[in-house]
Amino acid sequence: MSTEKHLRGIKRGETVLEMRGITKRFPGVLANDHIDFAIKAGEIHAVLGENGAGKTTLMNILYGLYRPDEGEIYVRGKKVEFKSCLDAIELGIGMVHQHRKLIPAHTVIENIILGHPRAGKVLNIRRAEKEIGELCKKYGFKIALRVKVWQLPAGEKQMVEILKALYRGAKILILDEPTSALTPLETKKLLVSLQALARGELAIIPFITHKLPMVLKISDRVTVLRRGKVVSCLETKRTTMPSLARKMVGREVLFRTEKVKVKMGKPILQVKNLSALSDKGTLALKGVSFAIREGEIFGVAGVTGNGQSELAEVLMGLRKATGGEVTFEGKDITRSSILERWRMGIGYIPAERVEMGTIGDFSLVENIAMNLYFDDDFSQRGILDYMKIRKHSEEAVSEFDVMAPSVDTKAKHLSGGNLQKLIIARVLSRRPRLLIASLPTHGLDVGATEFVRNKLVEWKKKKTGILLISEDLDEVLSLSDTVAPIYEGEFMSILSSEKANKENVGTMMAGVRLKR
Amino acid sequence: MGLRLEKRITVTPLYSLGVAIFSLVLAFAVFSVVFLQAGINPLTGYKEMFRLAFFTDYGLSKVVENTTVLLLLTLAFIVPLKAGIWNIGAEGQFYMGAIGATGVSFALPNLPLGVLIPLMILGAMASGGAWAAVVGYLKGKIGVNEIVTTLLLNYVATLAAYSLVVNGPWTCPERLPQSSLIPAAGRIPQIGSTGIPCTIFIAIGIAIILFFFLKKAKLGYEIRACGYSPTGARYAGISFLKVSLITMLIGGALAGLAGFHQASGVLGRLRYDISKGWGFYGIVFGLVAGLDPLVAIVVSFFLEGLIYGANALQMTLGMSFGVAAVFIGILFVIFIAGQFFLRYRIKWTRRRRS
Repeated sequence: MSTEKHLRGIKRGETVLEMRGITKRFPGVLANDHIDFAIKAGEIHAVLGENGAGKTTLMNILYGLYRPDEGEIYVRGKKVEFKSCLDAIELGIGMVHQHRKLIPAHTVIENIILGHPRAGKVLNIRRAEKEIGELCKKYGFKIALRVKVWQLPAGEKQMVEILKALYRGAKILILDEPTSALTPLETKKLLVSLQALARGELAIIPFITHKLPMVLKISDRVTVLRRGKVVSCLETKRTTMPSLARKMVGREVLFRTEKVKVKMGKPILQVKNLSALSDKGTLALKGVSFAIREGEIFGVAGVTGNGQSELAEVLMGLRKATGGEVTFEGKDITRSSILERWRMGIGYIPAERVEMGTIGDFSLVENIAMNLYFDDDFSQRGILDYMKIRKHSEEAVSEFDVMAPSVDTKAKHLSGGNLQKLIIARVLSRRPRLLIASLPTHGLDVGATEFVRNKLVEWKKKKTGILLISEDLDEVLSLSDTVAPIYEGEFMSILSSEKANKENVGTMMAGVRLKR
Repeated sequence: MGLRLEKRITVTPLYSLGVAIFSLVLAFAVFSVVFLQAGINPLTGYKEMFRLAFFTDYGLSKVVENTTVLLLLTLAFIVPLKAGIWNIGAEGQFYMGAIGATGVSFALPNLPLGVLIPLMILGAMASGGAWAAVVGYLKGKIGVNEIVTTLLLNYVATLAAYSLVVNGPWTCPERLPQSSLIPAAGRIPQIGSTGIPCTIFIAIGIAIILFFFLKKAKLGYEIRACGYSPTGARYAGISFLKVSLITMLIGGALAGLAGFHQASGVLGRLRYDISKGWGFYGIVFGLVAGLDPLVAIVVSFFLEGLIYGANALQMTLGMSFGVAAVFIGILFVIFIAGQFFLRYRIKWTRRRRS
C-alpha cells in the first residue's frame, strides 16, 4: 500500500515530515503564522502552547482537516497536498483525538476495523484479530481484543485509539491531550507504551496544553507555540519546566498556588446519605455524606465518571436525589428548584462549558444575563433592562479579562479559556455563599488555569464554601482544605489536607480502600 | 473542480433578501414551463399575476384579507419555534378558534357589537390556545413529541368542525354543509368601504408586539434561551414546562384569532372547509421570514399576493384547474431549499493531480 511505499525503509533519526511556512487565517484571527515544524522518525515531539496558540489548527492541517492558506508540507522530502484526512491517513499520519471516538457497545476489534478501507462489506474478524494481535505483540500492548469497549478503563480506551491508528498504517501519530482523562497510574502506563512505540520507526507528536511535567518526562524535542508563531524548538533535556512555561505564556508563572489558611466558619452545606441515578438509570451516587464550612475548599478527587457530575447536579437541583438530604445554611433544599438555589446563593460552574454553561448563539451580554434575568434589579414589569445588563457585562468582561471583540460577540466564537472566564465572572457576580466548581481548569492553558485557581482562593477568603471537583490530583491537593477521593459513587475517605498526599489519594481514586 | 460546503458564521439582512429574490426568480423561471406549455408568454403571465393581486381593488382587498389569516398563522408557528417547539398544528388551532368564536356568537346572539366581538375574540383565543396548550404541557412535562401531537390534533379539530356543521347542531336551516350566519353584532367591522375586516390592524399590531416581546421581555429571553440550548436554559433555572406551555398557548391563541377573523369577518359563518391548508402555509412563511415577526408581515403579504394572483390567473387566462397548486408547490419548495444558502456557502475548489 501507499503507506509503505512512502515510508518504507525509514531510519531512526531521519526527518519524515516537514511543514514549511504554514499560515492559516480565520476571520479575525491569524491562527498559524509561518510555522516551520519538522519531525524525525523515532522521536516524541511535543507541541506545547496555550489555548488559542494555534496547536490544534496546526495539527488539523497536518491531518488534512484544514488546508493551509500558505505553506507546504513535505513527507520524506516530497511535497504533498492533503485534500482530506484520507490523504493524510494514506501517507501514514494518524490522529488520536482527545474526545474518544469509540463505540462503547462494540468490541475492541470491531472498533479498530470500523471504517478501515479493507473492512469491506463482509467482515473478516478472524483475520483482523490475527493482524491486530501481531501489532500488539510488536509494540507490547496488552489488550483483550474481544472485550466490549465500555468495559475498558480509560487508559486502555486510549490505547485502543492508538491501535486503531496503527492498524490503519500510521507511522506518524498525533495525540491530542493524551492523558487528560487518565489516572496517574494509567498515565504512567500510557507513557511507557508511547516510549516503546517511539523506539521503533514511529514518530509521535503529542500536543499538550498544561501538563508540563509530562512533556519533560517523555518527549525528545519540544516545539512551543505562542499566538500562532513558533517561539522555540529545542531538545527537551536542555530545558526546564519554568523556562518552558515562560516561553509558552510569555511571562513568569508560579506553579504553586499558595495555600491560604482561612479561619473556617460554620457549616454552610450539609449532605447526608445522598444518592442519585446516572442518565443510564444506574446508581451513580451511593449515599455520600459530608459538610462544607465557610471558607473551606472541599476537593473531590477522582477520574470522571465516578459520580462527580451527578453529585454536582444533585446539589444544583439539575438532577433528582433518590435518597438522602441536602441542607444549605440550615434549610432543607433537597427538593428546591434550580432557580431557588441560584437565588439563595448557590453558584455552579459546570464542567460542560459549551453545552450547559453558555449558550453559543447568545451574545456575551445575553450569556451574562443567564444569572441576572430573574433578579428584580434587572427587569421592570417583565421587561429586561438591557442597558443595565450590558453595563454589568462590560464590567465583568473587563474585570475577568475575557478576550472578545465586544460584548455583542456570540459566545460560540470564544475559546475555551475565555468561555470559562465568562462563566466564572457571571457566577461570581452573584456573590455565592456556596460555589460548586466542576472541572474548573480542565483543558485550560497555564495562564487561564492560574487565573481560575486564584479566583477560587480569593472567594475562599471571602468565606464562600467551595466544592471543587477535579481530575487533576495536583490541583485538588494544592487548593483543598479537605480532600475526598471518589470511586464509583462513594467517597473512599475524607481527609484533611495535612493527611492527604499524592500516593494515598491517587490509590484511593483507583478504588483501593486504605486501612486506617 | 470540486464542491465544498462551509458553514456561514453571519448572515446579513441584505444577503437574506438576496437569497429571497433569487429564490423568487428561480421559482418564476421553473413555473414558466407551465405557462409555455399552455401557450402563454411567461412575462405576460407574471405581469397578469402581479396586476390581479396588487393592482386591482378587488384583488388587493382579498390579499389583505388573507394576509391577516396567514400572518397570524405564521406567528403561531414562529413563537413556539423560538423555544425550539415545532407547532405543526396551527391548522387545527385555527379550526378551534373558528368554532370558539362561532359558538360564543350563537350562545349570546343578543349582545351589542361592542361586547360580543371581544367575547368572541376571547372564545377564539381560549379554544385555540387550550387546544395547543395540551400539547405544550405534554411536551414540557414528559417530553411527548409535539410534531406528532399537533399534527394529529389537526384531524380532530377539522372533524369537530365537520360534525358541527354537516348535519350537525349548527347546520343552517337550508341544510347546506355550513353553519347558520353569525348574528350581525358578531361580524367584524370593515375598514371604510373596502370590504376588508379591520382585524388586519390587530394582526400587524401583534406582530410588532411579539417582535419586541421576544427581544426585550424577560419571558422572551427565557423562550429564546430554551430554543438555542435547552440544557443551558435549564442550568440558568428556566422552567421548560413553563416556556413550552406559554409558547404553545400564544401560538394556539393566535391561530384561534385567525379562525375568528375568517369565520366572523370573511365568511360570516363556520364551514367545514374554512381553511385552505393555511395552517401549513404558516410553517413555510415562518421559515422564509427567518422566524422574525416583523419580516413575517412582509413575507405573508407578498407570498399571499403571489398565491392569490396564481389562483386568479387560472381563471382569467383560462388555464387548467390545479395550476395554482403547482405554482404554490414550486414556490414553497424553492423557498425552503433557499434556506440552505443562509446556513452554508458553497466553495469551488480546484483539484490538482499530484
